[in-house]
Amino acid sequence: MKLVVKDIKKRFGQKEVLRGLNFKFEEGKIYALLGRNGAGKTTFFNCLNNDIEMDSGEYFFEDNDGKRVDIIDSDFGYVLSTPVVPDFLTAREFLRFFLEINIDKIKDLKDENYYFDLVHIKEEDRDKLLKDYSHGMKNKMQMLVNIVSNSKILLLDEPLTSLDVVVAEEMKELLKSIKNDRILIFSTHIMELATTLCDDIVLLNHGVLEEIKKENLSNDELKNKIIDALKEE
Amino acid sequence: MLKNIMLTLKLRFTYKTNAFIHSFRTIPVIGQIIPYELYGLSDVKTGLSIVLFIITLIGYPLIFGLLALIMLAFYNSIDNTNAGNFPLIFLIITILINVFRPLTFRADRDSNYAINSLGMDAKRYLLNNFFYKIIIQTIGLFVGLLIVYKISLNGDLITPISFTCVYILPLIYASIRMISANVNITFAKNNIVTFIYFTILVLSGAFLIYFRINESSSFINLLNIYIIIYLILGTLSCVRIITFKKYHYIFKYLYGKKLAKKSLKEIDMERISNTIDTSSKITSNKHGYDLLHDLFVKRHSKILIKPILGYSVVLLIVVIAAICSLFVIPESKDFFHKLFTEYILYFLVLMYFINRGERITKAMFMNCDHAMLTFRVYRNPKVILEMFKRRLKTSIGFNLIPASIIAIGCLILLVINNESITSIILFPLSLVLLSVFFSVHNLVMYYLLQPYNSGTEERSKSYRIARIITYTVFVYPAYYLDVTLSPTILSFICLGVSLTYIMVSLIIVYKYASKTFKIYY
Repeated sequence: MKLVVKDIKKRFGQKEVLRGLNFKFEEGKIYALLGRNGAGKTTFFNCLNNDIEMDSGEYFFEDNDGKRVDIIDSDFGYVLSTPVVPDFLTAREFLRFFLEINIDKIKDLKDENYYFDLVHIKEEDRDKLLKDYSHGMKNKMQMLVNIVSNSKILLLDEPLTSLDVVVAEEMKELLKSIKNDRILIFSTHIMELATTLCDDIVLLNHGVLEEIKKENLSNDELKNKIIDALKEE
Repeated sequence: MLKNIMLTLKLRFTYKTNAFIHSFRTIPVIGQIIPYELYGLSDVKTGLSIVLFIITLIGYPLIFGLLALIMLAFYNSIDNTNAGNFPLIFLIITILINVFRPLTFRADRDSNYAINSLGMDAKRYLLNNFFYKIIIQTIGLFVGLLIVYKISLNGDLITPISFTCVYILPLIYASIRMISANVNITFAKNNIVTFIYFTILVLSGAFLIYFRINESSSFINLLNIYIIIYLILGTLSCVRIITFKKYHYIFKYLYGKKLAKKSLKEIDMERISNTIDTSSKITSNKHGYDLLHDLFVKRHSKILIKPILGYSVVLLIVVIAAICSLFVIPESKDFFHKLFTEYILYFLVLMYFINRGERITKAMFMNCDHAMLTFRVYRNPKVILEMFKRRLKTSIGFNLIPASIIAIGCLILLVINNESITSIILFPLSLVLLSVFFSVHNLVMYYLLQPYNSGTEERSKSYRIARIITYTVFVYPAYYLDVTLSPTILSFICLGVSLTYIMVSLIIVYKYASKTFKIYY
């Protein structure tokens, strides 16, 4: 299964932010989406998540036989850099709600505690209101509900930036463990994350997408290659 | 010096023009015509700055002139018996303006940009801004008073009292502003002294009023003493404000204090967040979206049901008292007959105000939809419609509690009062329908014009305008409408309009809410 992005364009006033994005994202991979500030990474995510309307273009699934498969709302999960969760629910209720609305999609339904263990949320915190959760814990919850929803595509907008080192490491491991039957697109400014966590690197530069091949390059060589590509006018 | 003043004013008007363009762009329809590029067109912005400056120049004389006109309206002419009243009222208003809106050296965001970000000299920037405001306001006041006096006193400005009113009062205004500003810089770190100063200022005004009432013969002499004291203190304050050197420290201190304080938006957000009932006893046996809705309602009882129950009890007491009065006071029959015939439209106003609208939708957004709308599945048209239905049922149900009390109360009163059978049937029914109408309207407006952006700020004026229109169209006429229609016809109109509106708006929500109900970036 692939996510095909075809000729997506978006402009704000005179500024053409996305000038025709074309790419095929493959299942089972984590893609690092790199770009300079204001390059349009969040705009691209917002277009995919239907938060803003594209000016033109489309995106769809392509199965292994090359046939087009339409995308449905529940195929998308979006983890924002600043997590927003409904403050009036407890973590358990929030999780229960997502399990219940996705019950038909979940093949092997487990006990709620199993899922909490997955993101290392302690037992004593599970019945607390989300309004009392820290930034990192909210982030974990946001990630968790997107995972249990079985979203085929997970858009991650700098999700690890403000997490402490332990939680960030936990999240990285979690992302690696869930990538098999999903497409993960990970927007980040941290080069280290892009080169170590992600399988492929995609640059969003001058309003278009461009893949950077790792080609047996060392991390430093890869970094230089990315910086050179982003510097090009 | 002049260069500095020009730079400060330029910066001030850049803020003003940008804020003006921004607020214009949030107006529906008109806002879309105004291109974003306008922010970059320096010629247009210079023109706009000049227009805004002229508006400011005209604005002050207009406000102060109007104030003087209102004050003069109390007296047919100014003679020796009431000569001191005008300056007295003026002085009291000036004191109150100083207490509630002191023209101090404010450490606001604009000043922070200028001083900290742009590196402007704190003293020059703050003084330029301060004197710009003082001069504009004092001249505005002088021009306003001059025009009013020229008209009302046929150009006679040579009497001592008119001289005082036109020439001295603006100086008194500036003097009190100066004194307050001087206290502001001298005692910036001492809130108690500032509080004592304002207390003395208010007491001095109160003493003057007391003297006017009880010792009117020597009042003018006291007034003159006041004027001399204010002028001397004002001049001394002006000298101190100019020679004062530590503006930079004062600014840093005040800005630090301001940063520590929460913004209005933060306070509002906190207040909304605090409406969540944190009791662990609140649970739900429901599933999926029913669970989400059920817990939202239960955990927001502080703003959803409790206020409704509160005024329902008050309404119940009023209704019982009204019914009792029919038996105890026979004359009240006429009053109630009049109420149900001539003042029927006031019930419309009542139904509008007992409906809980904006606060509920604000809580819905801040505490629930703001988060849930980031999930694409929550924006599925079917889900939106299902949630809308759940919320509508709850909203109608809650609002029907006070509406039913009024409707049943009216029904009993109509029956006891032997009103017409059509009134007995139609009037209570109209009240119930009006309640449903306002419940539908509030929620429909929220779903169609979702007024907040991702930062939980109001993004567009559409919602506000829609609320003003609702008030203007449905409620405001009730105050002034000369009701010549019979109650029966009015009830029919209420029924017809409510039913049509409910049907049409539900169809519109069904068709468009999936497109409009989202987070705007």
